[in-house]
Amino acid sequence: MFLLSKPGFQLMERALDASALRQKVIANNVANVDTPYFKRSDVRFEELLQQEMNGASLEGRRTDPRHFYIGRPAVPMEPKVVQDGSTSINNNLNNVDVDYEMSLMAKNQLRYNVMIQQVNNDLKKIRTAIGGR
Amino acid sequence: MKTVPVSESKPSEGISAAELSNRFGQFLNDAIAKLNDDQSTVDKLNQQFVKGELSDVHQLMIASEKASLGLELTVQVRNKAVEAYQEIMRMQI
Repeated sequence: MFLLSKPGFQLMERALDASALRQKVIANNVANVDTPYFKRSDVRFEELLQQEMNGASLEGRRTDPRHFYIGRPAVPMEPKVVQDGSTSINNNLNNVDVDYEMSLMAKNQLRYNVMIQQVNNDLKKIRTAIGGR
Repeated sequence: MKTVPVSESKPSEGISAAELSNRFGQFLNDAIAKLNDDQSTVDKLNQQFVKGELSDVHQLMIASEKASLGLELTVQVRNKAVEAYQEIMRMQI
């Protein structure tokens, strides 16, 4: 759909993907709170996105998948799951702190709600413009 | 949104119909341009939020609502204009 292929909308989609992935990772951390030798994981997305978008390099817009990439290597913006192996708060080397995970989860849910609302608003605006009502 | 004062749109002060329609067209053009600006503000704030740079979400929400309302107002004005046109076209001469 040509109306929804603008970069802003696709960015929101990717961000929602990252948020959903973060929810899964946090749930996994919480589920393994008593597992010996378990190390918690984090999702890195915002920092990577900032690096990509605030970078000084210009990127050529591709209108066809066969076009060359201009100015930037061909890496799509993907969230990364990184394991935090540096800490441990338990004798069995587990480093899951439930309170911390819960606050991360609440923060992630707020972010998700804002983004999903913006996506819905965008869709509603397009629908209004199409329907003329 | 800028509104045209009623006194300016009086046809009795020697303003031709062409001039009036030009003014109306200009007014509509300005409104559309403003709407576009509102939407690009929303896009910019969205981008900042996704990057994690925007700490005050209310700014994004207010901008978004403004853009939505602006769009709805524009669509309604357009509907009224089309309605008026159709009314005139149906008139018996």
